[in-house]
Amino acid sequence: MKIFSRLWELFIERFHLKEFLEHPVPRYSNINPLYWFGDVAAVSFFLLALTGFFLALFYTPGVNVVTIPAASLAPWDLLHPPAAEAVRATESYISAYRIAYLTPFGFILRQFHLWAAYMMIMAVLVHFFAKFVLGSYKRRGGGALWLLGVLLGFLTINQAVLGYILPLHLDGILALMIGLNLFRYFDYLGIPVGNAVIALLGSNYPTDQVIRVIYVAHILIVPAVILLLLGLKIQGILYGGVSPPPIKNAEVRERMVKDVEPFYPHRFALMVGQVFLQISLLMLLVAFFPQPLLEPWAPGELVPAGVRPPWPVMWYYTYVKMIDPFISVGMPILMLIFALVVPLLDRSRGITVGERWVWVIIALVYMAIIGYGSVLGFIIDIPKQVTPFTQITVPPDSAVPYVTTPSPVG
Amino acid sequence: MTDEKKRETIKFFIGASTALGIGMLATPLVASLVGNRAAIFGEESTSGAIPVEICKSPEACPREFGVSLDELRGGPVFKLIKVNSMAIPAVFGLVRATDGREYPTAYVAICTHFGCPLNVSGGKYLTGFFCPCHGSVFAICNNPAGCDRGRFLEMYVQGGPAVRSLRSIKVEVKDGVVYPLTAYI
Repeated sequence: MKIFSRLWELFIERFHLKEFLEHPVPRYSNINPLYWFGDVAAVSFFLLALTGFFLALFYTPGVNVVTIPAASLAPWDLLHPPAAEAVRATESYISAYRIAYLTPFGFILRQFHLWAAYMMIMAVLVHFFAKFVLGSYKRRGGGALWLLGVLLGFLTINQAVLGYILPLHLDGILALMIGLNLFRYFDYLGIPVGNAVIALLGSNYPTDQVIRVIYVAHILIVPAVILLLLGLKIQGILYGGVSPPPIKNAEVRERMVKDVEPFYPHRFALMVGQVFLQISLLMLLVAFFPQPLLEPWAPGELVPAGVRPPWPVMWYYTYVKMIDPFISVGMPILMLIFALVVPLLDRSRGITVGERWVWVIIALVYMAIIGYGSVLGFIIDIPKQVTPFTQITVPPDSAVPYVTTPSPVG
Repeated sequence: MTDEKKRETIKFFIGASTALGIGMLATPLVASLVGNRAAIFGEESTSGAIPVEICKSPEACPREFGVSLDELRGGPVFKLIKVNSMAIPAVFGLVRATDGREYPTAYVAICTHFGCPLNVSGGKYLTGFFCPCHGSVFAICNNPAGCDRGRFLEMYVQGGPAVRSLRSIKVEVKDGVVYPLTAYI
């Protein structure tokens, strides 16, 4: 026994883990829930990486349509009882189906991944809003952390959309096709972004190459960038400290910043509790609100009306429908740029929420734009013109004339 | 870094992002005020159509790319044509013109609004397309003299949010088979 404790001590000593375990954490950030949501998002990311690893083992990217007899589908899957004797679907869809319904624990694995993703996005939104209202970017080094956070949030939403595309169900294919074609409106400043996207991926219709690029981006490239930025951010917080509380009295503020506890065992215990609470909450969501795999679709089949995008990008869908897409297609980029420069624009000396009321209102408006669009996207009918902006007259120069010399055959 | 340098860097970043944001907003706004987008963006980027050569001539075209007229007489036919790295969802159809003759046509079944796959409307003859995502309706101009909204055989926008006519595929008939030659995607 003694040898093990000696080994453990050596391990702690040689890797300088004592410094990490004993790094000071202010007491107010352990008590106040507004300082917890960054942890929730980070833990969700690691849960997603863990479940995503196993999902990636079973998933096959491919758009080739395969026909499988309906009898080979799970008879207890009554969510989408097959209408015909054979079901046509893409290879990706079949592999997602196999994971969800024909692999032991696959259903829980997929549902857990999905709900963890939803939880991560919610945590990211709450974390962003909390730090916006508290003005956490005003402390020394806070601007750089804010910049990393905004980029991480942007990548998180991107991951949500990429992951939504991968099973290649009807909704995923529509999302992919819109993603491949929407940016053709995006020719601001004479830069043809849409054509660049098509040139890069090689097609504006799903092909094996496109889906492979999306697969690699979803499981490798974007998570790697997220991991890198997250590491930088944790490093910045570890050595720069948590943002001071928004209290006007400098003496009290200073005292609260100085009132520290070591990470281990105080915050460590809290975090262990948080991880278990999070896992149990996710398991409850999986048990009580399972999201069925959406129905398959193969090219050339009839597309039913009423397909909506996933909720993390619903607001974009609403505004792009409401406003001339030549203007609204770049909205996420504008929102991103604005969020990035917030620390540069907010030069006021105010510390409390009351003193910073202008920026609190701006934060509220920012979140309201996203919230209003998200709610409206679920409420309005799909083929409905929301505003007069929706109907755009056809510019005569942008019509593509019929290219063949008309030649009758009968 | 001294304070002076820091302030300059900050000023540079504020200036650059403001300029980028204003530029992004202003370009399409000015263009829509001017009313002639082609004058601002140039013809190519406005119509946005990229020509993709499927076959040089009907002789050089593989038979599986073509659709026989007999098959077309039963109704429009969907074909996923794979050329190089591209997949082109083509809908072949016969159009009955007002002069009573039938014309073979082919269109790229991707909505010019946001790029959703399109549903074909019409029975035996191809009459138009309908987008299930945002409700754009495309209709064929079947008057050889041309229509108000488009030229002969142009799949113009009849309603909904799309702004551009459907992109078409150049076709040629040989031995009773319709072959696609060039697609404008």
